Amino acid sequence: MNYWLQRIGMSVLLLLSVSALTFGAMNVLGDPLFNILGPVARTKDVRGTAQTDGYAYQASKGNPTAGLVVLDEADELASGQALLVSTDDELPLRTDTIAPLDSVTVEGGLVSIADTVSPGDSVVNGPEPEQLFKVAQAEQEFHLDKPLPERYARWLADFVTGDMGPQFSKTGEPPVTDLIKERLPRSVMLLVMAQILATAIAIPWSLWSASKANNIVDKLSTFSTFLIIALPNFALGVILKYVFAIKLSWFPQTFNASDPLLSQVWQMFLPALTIALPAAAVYQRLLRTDLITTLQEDFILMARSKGVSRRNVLFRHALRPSLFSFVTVFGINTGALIGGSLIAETIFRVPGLGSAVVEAVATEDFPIVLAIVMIIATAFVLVNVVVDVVYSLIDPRVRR
Amino acid sequence: MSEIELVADEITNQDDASPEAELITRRLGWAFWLCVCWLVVIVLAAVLAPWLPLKDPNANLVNRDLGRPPYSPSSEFWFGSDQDARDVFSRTIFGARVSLTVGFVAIAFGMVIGGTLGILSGYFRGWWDRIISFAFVVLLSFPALVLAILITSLLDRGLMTISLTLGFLAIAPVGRLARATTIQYAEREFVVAARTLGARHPRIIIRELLPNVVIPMGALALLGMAVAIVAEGGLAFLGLSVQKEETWGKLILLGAGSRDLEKSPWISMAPIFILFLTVLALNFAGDKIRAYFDVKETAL
Repeated sequence: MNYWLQRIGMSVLLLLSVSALTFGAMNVLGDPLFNILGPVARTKDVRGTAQTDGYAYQASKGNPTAGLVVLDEADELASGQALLVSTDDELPLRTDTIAPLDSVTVEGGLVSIADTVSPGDSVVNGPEPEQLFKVAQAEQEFHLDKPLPERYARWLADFVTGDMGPQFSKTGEPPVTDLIKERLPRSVMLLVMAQILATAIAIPWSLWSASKANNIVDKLSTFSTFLIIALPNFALGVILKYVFAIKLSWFPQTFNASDPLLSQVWQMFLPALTIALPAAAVYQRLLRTDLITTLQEDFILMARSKGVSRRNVLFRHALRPSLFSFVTVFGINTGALIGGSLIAETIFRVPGLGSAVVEAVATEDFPIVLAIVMIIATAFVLVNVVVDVVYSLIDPRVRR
Repeated sequence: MSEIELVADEITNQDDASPEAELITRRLGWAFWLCVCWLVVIVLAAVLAPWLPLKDPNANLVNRDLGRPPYSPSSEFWFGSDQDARDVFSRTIFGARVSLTVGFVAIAFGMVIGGTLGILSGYFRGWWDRIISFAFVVLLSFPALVLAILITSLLDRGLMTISLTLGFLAIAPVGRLARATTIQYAEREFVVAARTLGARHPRIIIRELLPNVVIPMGALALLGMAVAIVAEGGLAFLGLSVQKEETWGKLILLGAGSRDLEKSPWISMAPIFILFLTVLALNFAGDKIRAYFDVKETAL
């Protein structure tokens, strides 16, 4: 029991760090405001930097300093000029705050800035007020004005309750959750199909191979697993598409989401095979090794000497005890297969999570990327836990 | 055994000790040297590409006698040409420059960072080891491609960014191998002897441990290079590869549209073939070296 508590705590900790990492990267490396608003967001970009001690203004990007007055104390400003406010004032500001003149009021040495400009903002030579308003509105809507940890906590609370937040592009509509709800089932179906296919290929193949261990047939099949593993999945996808969809026309080239379910399954066969074939090769190698080890055990000899046929020995006696490491790798491999499924989805144009990631990246819509990363990580952790459970069910020795 | 190690072991316990690996342990064999030959050829071709008598990879070599491009493979265009009458063969060779660079830089970065972290955490153990191991587990719990997507979508897509991103992904597997190997050697007699003689930590790590850790890492480096090259191709298919230069992945993607595949399959099949041979050679050579030095754990 204790072990499982530890295991679950570990999984939660892991998911938390994954999400914090992703969230942090998105917000620190990326620029959410720009992703939402586009160029408008740039109106509040810092064009110059102020040094903390003095009040020097450093122009960059060819920005003229002429319109800027560096303030030591509050002074009268001519119209069209901008103001550099220092932290010594009443305002809790960074020194690099530059505000447009019309949003600044000066009263007897006390400098105050209108609400539309939030602390830390900097504006060079006055953007339009409605642009600033838009920025402020977007910041409010997406909570960008809050500090990073608070935003993360907010996002996390929403995510746990099943709300993945608004999309960046298309100004928040439809919510990410809806998009995921539409795309996720297809990806899951693809993965399940791929795993079924891989198992269906690997088990007979490994049985056949193991029954002829170190024979020329076995050597050839080991060699071919090597070839398959060396073939990158995108290349395999292209080859399968060329051979089966274009030359032989057995399968449609692309996926059509409006078709009935049965034909969708048919359309998913090639992408599923693209994912399944390398997985099958991995499974085959593993199972074959384990089978060969099992076949050398005494109980197999016993079964054979009792007169059980070779076929029955293979299926009834040897297969089950050889499945342990297969179960483990089956679970672990799911993570790798998710990566493969992203590519298979793009090649065969299946509108699943993979294509959603590609689209989201193209439009810099990071809430979608974040949601999908989290789904994949959660799936990964869950699969690992399930594997653990299954493993300890099959083999009680694992429960220490 | 701590819970961290438990989880870590579950992720990496893909035991590769197949019977034939035991048989070939002390023999590299002709196939290995064949692979090495191919790798030497492709690396030389990539390095010397600008000085080899190749066609300009970006020139539109329209030939009136052959009609409209794309041209099928012939003595003039060994691998055919693409829609813009550019020579696929020379494009593939020039693509090798970028793809191999990505693979090499990625794995070198992963080796240096991951190796250092792994050796330090394996040697000093304690809390640092726990933190670093946990970081490795976190890194490994991302499907690698997803992490690569995340980083490349946030940063610019220069050659170095892509290479270092893929190198970043190599840190965890390399680090875990380095850590496991270090732990294995840290209590051996020669290390204890060095310590008893008064050697300081840096000396023990560099003179005693490093040479033993480097060998299994070398086998992993070949496999890792293959993984990085393939990962770059995967990124290309997601539209996230190097922006400027042509890579194998981008070349394959270029010819992977339905119409192109139907009319001129060689545009993508030729680079696929070269990529396949290279990955095969790297995998095979890596496997053989691993078997030769009897490295147990790999995590790629």
